[in-house]
Amino acid sequence: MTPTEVLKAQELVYELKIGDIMTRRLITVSPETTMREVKQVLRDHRISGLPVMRDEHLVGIVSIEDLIRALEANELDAEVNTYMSSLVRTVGEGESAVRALSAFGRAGVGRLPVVDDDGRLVGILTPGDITRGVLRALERAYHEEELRKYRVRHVFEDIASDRTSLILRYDIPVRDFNRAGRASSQLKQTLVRLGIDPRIVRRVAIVSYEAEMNIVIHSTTGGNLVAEINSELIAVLAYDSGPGIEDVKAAMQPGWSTAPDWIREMGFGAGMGLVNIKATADEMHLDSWPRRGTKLEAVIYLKPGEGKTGHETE
Amino acid sequence: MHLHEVMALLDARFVSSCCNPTIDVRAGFAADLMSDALRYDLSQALLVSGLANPQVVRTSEMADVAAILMVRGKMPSADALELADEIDIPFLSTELTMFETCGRLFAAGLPACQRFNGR
Repeated sequence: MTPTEVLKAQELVYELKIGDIMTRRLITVSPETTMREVKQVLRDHRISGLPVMRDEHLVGIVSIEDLIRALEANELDAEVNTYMSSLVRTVGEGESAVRALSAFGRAGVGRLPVVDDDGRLVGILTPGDITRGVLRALERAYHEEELRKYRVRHVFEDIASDRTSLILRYDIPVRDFNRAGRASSQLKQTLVRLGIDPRIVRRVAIVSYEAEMNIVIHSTTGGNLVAEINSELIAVLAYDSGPGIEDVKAAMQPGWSTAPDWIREMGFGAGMGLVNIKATADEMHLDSWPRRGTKLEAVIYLKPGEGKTGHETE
Repeated sequence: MHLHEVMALLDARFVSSCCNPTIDVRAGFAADLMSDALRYDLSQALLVSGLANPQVVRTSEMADVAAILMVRGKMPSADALELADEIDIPFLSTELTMFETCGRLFAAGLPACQRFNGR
């Protein structure tokens, strides 16, 4: 397992509900059952413990350890209620599997009765159920994502041409701060599904997001973001039709910003957007015509060596 | 550093539905202006911020941030939380100031994020 897959497995344990992984087939005994009968039930079903029920209420748990004590005392005809544990810790079927894991750790028991919202016994959970549940969920998640990636990659392979590109176009509305970043988010997801190196994806996402935010913040009527993906590079083109940048050279200086205070209060207008794009992309071209609009093009190469990948220490 | 260690150090708590304390953060960065943050390599890092709007989440999504921590007891806006749940990123909150938060994390061994290689 790679570290990412381990992380995914941990996340799944948090998402898994006890009700989804518990054993529902309930075999129970009454407090008056003899330990001899318990021995038979455990053996027949190859299990190591049983809930003890009286009138549909859980009153205890009898386990193989209790059976051993009865055997040692030569009391196999004793009733279950003399040997069972009656202080029973339960877990809810809606709780996360992680709650059960910590309960197993604390209580030192091998099984936990699972109850519904009304406190009725609905199943039983063992550490083995959790392992099986996580493995099943992991397999499901893996297959879903692999299938998606496989389909997207095949689109490229099945199309025959001298140069195939995928072009994604996004409309960027002006001053819509709740939706701002949506285009870059969708672009990023697409690149991940195409199976592109995560470090390249991150760089494209940063370039595209800064460009998108510039349109959201500064344009008069909104603009467009276009990403072209081919086998060699990813090009991000961002353009709008005004107001244009008065002084392009000044705009490329770190910290230079024309953003008003209310934009800064939202976390933007640090005067680093264009600087970040230039530093993150392999190539950047910026053209602007006052009152007519701005066009920014940034290129990131997919092959190592052609692009910048390293980091420097501040 | 695992999120549960971060939580113990800062008396922080989860405010998002994504609440996995075993997530590992590799480094830390603190900023209120998001473009300042994007100049650095924030992948798998903890982003400390006093900014409580959806853009802090979007920025984190773009930069592959592992977890977001709000300082000064701030709560993220409903929009920000909704977005955090959508992209499945954990959001934490502490009562401490940004200064003390960073000081405690750094003293406990969480390194600073490094800058992207610029040309």
